[in-house]
Amino acid sequence: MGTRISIAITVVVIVALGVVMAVSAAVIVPMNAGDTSRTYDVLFNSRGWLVLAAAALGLLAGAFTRRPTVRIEDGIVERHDGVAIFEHWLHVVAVLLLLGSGIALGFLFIPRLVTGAHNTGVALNLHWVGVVLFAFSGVYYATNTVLSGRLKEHLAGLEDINVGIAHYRAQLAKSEPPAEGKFYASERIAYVYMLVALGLVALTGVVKLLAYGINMPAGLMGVVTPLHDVGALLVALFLIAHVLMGAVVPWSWPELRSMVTGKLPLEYVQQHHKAWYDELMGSPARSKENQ
Amino acid sequence: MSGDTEGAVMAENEGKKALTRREFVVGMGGAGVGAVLGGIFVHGILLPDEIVALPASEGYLLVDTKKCAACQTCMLSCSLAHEGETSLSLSRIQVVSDPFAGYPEGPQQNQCRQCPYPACVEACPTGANHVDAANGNVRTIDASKCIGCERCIQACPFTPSRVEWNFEEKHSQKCDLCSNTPYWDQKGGPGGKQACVELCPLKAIAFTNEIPIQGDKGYFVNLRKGDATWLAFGFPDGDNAEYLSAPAAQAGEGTQ
Repeated sequence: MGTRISIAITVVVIVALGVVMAVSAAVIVPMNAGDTSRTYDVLFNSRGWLVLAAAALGLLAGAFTRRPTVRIEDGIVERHDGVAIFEHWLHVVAVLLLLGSGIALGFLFIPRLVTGAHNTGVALNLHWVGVVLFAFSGVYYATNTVLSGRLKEHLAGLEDINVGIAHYRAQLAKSEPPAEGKFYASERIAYVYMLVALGLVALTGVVKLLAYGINMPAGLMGVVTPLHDVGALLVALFLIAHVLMGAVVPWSWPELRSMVTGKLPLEYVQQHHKAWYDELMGSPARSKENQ
Repeated sequence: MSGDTEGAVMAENEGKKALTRREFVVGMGGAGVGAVLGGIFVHGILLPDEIVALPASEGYLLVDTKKCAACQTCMLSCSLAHEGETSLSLSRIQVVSDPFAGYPEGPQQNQCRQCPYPACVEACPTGANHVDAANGNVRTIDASKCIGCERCIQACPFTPSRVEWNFEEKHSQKCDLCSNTPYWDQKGGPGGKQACVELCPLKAIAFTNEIPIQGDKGYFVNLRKGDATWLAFGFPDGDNAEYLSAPAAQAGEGTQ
């Protein structure tokens, strides 16, 4: 628990530093000494390299990360290890910064909420802070998830559509739910959705970032920007559904708690994640690290 | 068998260690960090500062405030030609009127000066605000490249800024001398017509290909000289050298 608190404090400090950096860079100053022209610092322009450095650092850290196998102790199942919790909440901070600043700047049909160069600069620079965090967290997550072989437990198959429907039908009828795995079928379907949405945002975002240093064709930027916006809208819609289904509705509260503590009672797992429970009971839990 | 062993990308001969997938990713990450740090070093320390010379615009708008009646026809025509709607908020030329100021300070036409050293172009981080070589070096904005940072709006040394925010399409915009008017079927730019010049009922806006002489109050412009309508009303057509058209000022006409 001490490690987790240390990591949480580190993340808070990094975000706070980022916010201070974003706000101070947006202060309007003369372009040159004695000039009537004014400007501010766009961090995407002056510190764009930090995004690439964060992604490379994420790759390194992800490669060095070892994920433990699921542990069962005293009737408690560790559903999420420390890495998963760290990644999830770092994603949350980054995505909230990105969506918040993106909405403030306005996109697609969403009106611009900020006015004036300074406020615009703050929003744009906060977007940069979100991008740096997400470049690290996204690449870190992707690297260690693929290397630890955990990707397959997140990805949905076609059969998950029927299981997902059966799950909510059972919930409405208060009948026996289908046997679910470690992640619900609906979670795995949402995962694929998010891979597409975030992939679209990330790919178009990279092109937008490169446009600060390379003279991109106008036609390409004319396609990339609306695609970036559509991806962001898909992420925003997911976030609403995710918070609603994962945090607001009472039956998800044990799962929400597990996103902080990592733990779920064994009885709860048996009741709600029957397939996973059978899998855990079938193969003895191991505490050694999974390579 | 572990994932890394399965994913080995290079099986060496006996006695040599195979490169695992994890080791490969570590190498890629290390190379990435090294490339970024190396790039900063090369760009920041070894390369000299960039010096850019921009060619002068081949066209300029001249406005004569003494002829302006603040009817805003120029604003509406600008918006109509560029955006397809008559919105004062979408005009690139701006008329500001102070009813308490005495003549000729009341109406002020604020047109882009197509500056020889355009701060708006210098401020743009993505090259959206650029010198358009294909259209007589007019200083213009490529909306598809604009990221909406508003630095160009802030950078314009004039008040009000000659670069405006297009609140409908969320990008900056400025006078392009009508080189790109999707809703006006006329050839524009330095070699063509400008909607505001064509439609101003008082002929208070003119176009010139030569760089106008500029003072504290703006260009030295007198569009009243030789204007039959103006003279028919008995209005004075000459005053001091502050308000001469560029060619007239250069020829020494009208000075008192």
